[in-house]
Amino acid sequence: MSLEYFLQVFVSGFTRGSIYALIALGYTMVYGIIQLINFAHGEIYMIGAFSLLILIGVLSMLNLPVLALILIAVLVSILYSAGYGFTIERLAYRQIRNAQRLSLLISAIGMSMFLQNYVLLAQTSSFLYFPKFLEDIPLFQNTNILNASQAVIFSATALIMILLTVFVRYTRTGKAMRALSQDRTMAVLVGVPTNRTISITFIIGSITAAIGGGLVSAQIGQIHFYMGFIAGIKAFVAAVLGGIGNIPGAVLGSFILGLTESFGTTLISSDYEDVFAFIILILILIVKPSGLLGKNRSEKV
Amino acid sequence: MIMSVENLSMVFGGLRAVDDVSFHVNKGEVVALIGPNGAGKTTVFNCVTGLYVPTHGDVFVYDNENVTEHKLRGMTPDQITRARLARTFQNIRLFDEMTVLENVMVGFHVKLKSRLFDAIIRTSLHKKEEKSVLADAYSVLEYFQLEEHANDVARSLPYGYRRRLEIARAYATDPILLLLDEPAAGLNPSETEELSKLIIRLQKEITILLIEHDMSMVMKLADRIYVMDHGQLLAHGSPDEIKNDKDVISAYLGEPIDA
Repeated sequence: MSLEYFLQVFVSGFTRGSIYALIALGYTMVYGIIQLINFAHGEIYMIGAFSLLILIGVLSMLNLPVLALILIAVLVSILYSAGYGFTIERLAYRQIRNAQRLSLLISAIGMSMFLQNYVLLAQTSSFLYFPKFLEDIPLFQNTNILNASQAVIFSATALIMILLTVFVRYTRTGKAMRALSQDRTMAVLVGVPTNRTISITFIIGSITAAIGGGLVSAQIGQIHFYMGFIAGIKAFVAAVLGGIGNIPGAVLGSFILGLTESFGTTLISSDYEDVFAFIILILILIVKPSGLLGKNRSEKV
Repeated sequence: MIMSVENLSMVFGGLRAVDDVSFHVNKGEVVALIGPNGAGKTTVFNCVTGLYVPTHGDVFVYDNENVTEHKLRGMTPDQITRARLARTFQNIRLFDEMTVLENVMVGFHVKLKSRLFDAIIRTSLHKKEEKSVLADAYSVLEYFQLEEHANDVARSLPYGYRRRLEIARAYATDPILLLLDEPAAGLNPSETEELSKLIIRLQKEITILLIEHDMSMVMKLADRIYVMDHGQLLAHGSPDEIKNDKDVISAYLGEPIDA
């Protein structure tokens, strides 16, 4: 394998990893705060992509400049998806938050199926063409290592990671989120507004997932109602790999998974594209179930 | 009067953990709740702070400064915190992964008025509040002599400091009544001595209800003592009265064996 080829595969793995990271953040933040694997999270990613396509379609009738059109469509689709995240929590999780964890999990799976089928019925079962805003134009002459779409995805992901880190570390709501994830009873007892903080967590997770959905669609050029399922499962694997509940862990896990898939499909066979994620999942569950950066948390009595 | 507990009962299945207990706490007092292990003291605390909903009975809190009266039944723990009750736990419950300063800052949440929206558009209310929270958090740390450790992660603190931090965080929620659950547990004699001094200092501002097994500390600090055994109130009085109460002695040491 030549160096250039190696770097190409590496960069493409990193791009995959970025997208997984955008989705995995939502999984890991929600898990950190209410110990729920939010299986409906992948659907938010899908809804982000669908709403973006619809908005682009509608807005293109208005004769706006292209950049303004994209900007408005992106912003509105993000808000719309955040609204979904917020509503899912209110409808499907809040009432049973203190019930057994299994009830929450089943509610999450139900929500996921509902959203998939809702989009299937309301939209279509076939692949839809999505305008390729992110073209694969090489950024450097003579080499194919990094192209424009990859650069956009990297920068967007990096920006979101930085914003999120600042938010969680320095803002009051960020502190409230960390306090809730460490000891919910105690956080409530010192006056942390639980419901509001949990809602905000869902909203932030949905925003990053919707951005991921938009970016992927604009790069690949097609969307499908089922796209959230496999992407969601893989991001979930990434979150578990890094240590679920741990934000840097989710990012690390996502990049490892992205690179594994990228090199795996190149070196072994692209037929096994989806298998690597599950091999990783099985291995990590056997070797270190708490994940790479996760801590062994003993149950509180 | 700052709090009155009226005919409180808490039943778990067949167990009456708290059985028709009534008592009150006056403003400015240190009141101790003592009794053998399993007497139901912590259950009383859990009922008062809203972690349990009592089977029977009620708890009332009177905030004279704001001329409000709260009936705690039906209130959630965070509402009760807003009614200006704060507590600590037997097994220290800090936010271990956060710094000492952050632990205290979380406690200030209760008093803040600006909303997330204010935070996003950075209104002047929000900026002013954020600034004052930081200053207030530092002054709380100074009050509890923790300022040197402000940026240490809570889990790295020695045990005695962790105790103090837990009290500091409760103090940050601006309580009129502070419930301390065995604050001296696990402390060495010099740490216990320091804790006593701290409680004496706190008493000037805040009324204190404490559960404690360290009798010398209780006798020294408490204005009044309630003794519980098997979920019931066994005795009530000044430290001297309690020391000489026959029922109390037998509850602690068992019935004298005689024919």
